[in-house]
Amino acid sequence: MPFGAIRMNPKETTMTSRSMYASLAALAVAGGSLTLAACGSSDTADTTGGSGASNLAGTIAIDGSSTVAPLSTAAAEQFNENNPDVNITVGTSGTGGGFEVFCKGETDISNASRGIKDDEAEACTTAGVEYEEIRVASDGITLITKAGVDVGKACLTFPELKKIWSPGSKVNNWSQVGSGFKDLPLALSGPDSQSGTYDFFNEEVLGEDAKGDVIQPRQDYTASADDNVLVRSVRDAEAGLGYFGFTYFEENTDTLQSFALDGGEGCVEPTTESITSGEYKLSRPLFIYVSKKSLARPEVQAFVKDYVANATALAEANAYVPAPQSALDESAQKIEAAAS
Amino acid sequence: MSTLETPAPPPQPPVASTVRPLAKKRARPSEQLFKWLVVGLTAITMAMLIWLLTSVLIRGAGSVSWAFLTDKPSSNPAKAGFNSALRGSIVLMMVTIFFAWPIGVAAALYLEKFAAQSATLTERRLRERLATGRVTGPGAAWTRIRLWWLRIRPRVVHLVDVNISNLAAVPSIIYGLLGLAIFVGVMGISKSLLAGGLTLAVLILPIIIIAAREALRAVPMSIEQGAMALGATRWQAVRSQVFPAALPGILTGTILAMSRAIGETAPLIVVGGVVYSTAVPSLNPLEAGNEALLAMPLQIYFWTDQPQASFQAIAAAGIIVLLATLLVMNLVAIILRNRYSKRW
Repeated sequence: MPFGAIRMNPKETTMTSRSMYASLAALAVAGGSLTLAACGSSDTADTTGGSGASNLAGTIAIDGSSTVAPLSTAAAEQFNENNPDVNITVGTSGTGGGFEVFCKGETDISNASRGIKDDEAEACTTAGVEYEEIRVASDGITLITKAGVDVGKACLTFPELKKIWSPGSKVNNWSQVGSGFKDLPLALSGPDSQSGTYDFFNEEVLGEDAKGDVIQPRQDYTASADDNVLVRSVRDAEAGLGYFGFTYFEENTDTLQSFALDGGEGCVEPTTESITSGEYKLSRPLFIYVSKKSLARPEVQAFVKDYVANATALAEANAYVPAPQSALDESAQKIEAAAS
Repeated sequence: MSTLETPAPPPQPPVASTVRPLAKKRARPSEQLFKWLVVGLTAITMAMLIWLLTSVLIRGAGSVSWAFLTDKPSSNPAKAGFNSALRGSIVLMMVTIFFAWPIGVAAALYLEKFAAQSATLTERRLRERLATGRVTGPGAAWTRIRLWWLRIRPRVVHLVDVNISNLAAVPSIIYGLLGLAIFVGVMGISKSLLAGGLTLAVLILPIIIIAAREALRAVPMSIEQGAMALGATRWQAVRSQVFPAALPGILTGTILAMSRAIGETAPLIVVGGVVYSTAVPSLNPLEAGNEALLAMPLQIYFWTDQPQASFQAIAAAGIIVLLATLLVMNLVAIILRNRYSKRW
């Protein structure tokens, strides 16, 4: 509390209505100075990019996965260079939260780090929102430990991961994972249950139970919605194991090393190429879902076409793993078909 | 303190020789221990604060520039600016204060100065009016309703009282859900700075009410009673004496509440906050209903979640700007208090 230090003015001042207004004026001045600070280049944004601009105008509302948001932001910025009158907003309420508003028809485009779930699709159908699923990039869930640590093997298999992450698993030392692993403490880190990465990992590694629900992992691990927290958590553990998006590993290769993954056909290192091609088994597509009704609007159509046409370049410039060209071609065709 | 004569104490047994004079008295070991414990804990708190501030300053100071303050958000950390978020937060604060202040202060005035007063005289007057039979029909019914209200008023006020204190402790995300349901859902306001500002107004309303009540309570009763003894009605006494005297305290509380509101992230995410908008928000609060919900804490939260290290730097820069804004607001509060506070 900053007020602990305040010394009361010992001099008695008489409170008149004038001083009362003065204090209100002081408040107004404070507000005004803030306003000044923010004025800066007021409204220059509205006047830039005049030459060669298209006459497209309107608003495009995008919401959904925070993983995809930077890519959509980059696409929006690029689109705005030639189409300054199209106002694009990008929100980050998460894949699930994004679908919720998308299926109410409140947004035009929903970013998603996983495919739409059955119940979400049902909500869309009920509300009469038809959509097109467009793949824009890829992501590889990367298994990570601290750089320079040798746990015995540099490659993990799906059964080993399942053993580690299963509900009720008591594995807390690498030697318990299997033969060939050293006697080193195993501290786990991973995304929390709010994250799309969490859902994807559990589905791929733990699979479904008898009732068809995805098995939930053990809960005694360092969980966070912020991947940078996980980066730090793995970096600070003696020989930990964590998983998160490939980009977060790529940005921290000086302090982290990745495990190769054996999906049954030999060990595959996570790389841009192996994730794009899907050869690395824990890779997933990143999508945008576009409402067909919005796609009828010229500005939305132009934006989505632009987005897909530039997807690879945008991905490379913004630390994403690109989608395979075949998937992008397919996306472009879908848009053409929906537009005509 | 008191001018009353206290009765002479009964004669004490002669123990004075064993008691050391007060000035030389040393604290007992347990007292010493407690003192150092308190000092130590304070030091830990201060050290953490200083560590936090320095680490933010070291990481972010290099990124704070005029361009940072005047540019739009961008996916390129080298080009990303804070202007939209800063403007968004300023408009949010204007909307918030416009709605929260009058309602909060009015509620505090009512609860503290009107509802809490004894109603014996009014009650007697109303009863007499009924007893004489001068009022009939709807008039009598209305009088009965007023009597009934006077009877249950203390209980209602108590209920409101308890609830306001509880509301001040409700997690802010709940207010976000409330704002989404009421302002966006029922009232049909678009997910905009207006909806965000209204949500924050509801969020800080209990804080403003509590602070304003404290400030009103700090004004001695004698001021009000003096005014009333000179013939002023309660409303006149409150309007021209009590309220002006309490205003510095009320304003300080208000700015503290705004400091809370300006840092809120969770409710804004729920009400539809965005991290990128082509259009830079206008500073005209009347336009708030059409502007995308951009705000400083939202932008900072988004940047800290990005993989690239350069985004961490501009997130730190954003924190510095947010802290500077907070400091300016707190400075105003301190100046107001020091300048206009009054000792009785």
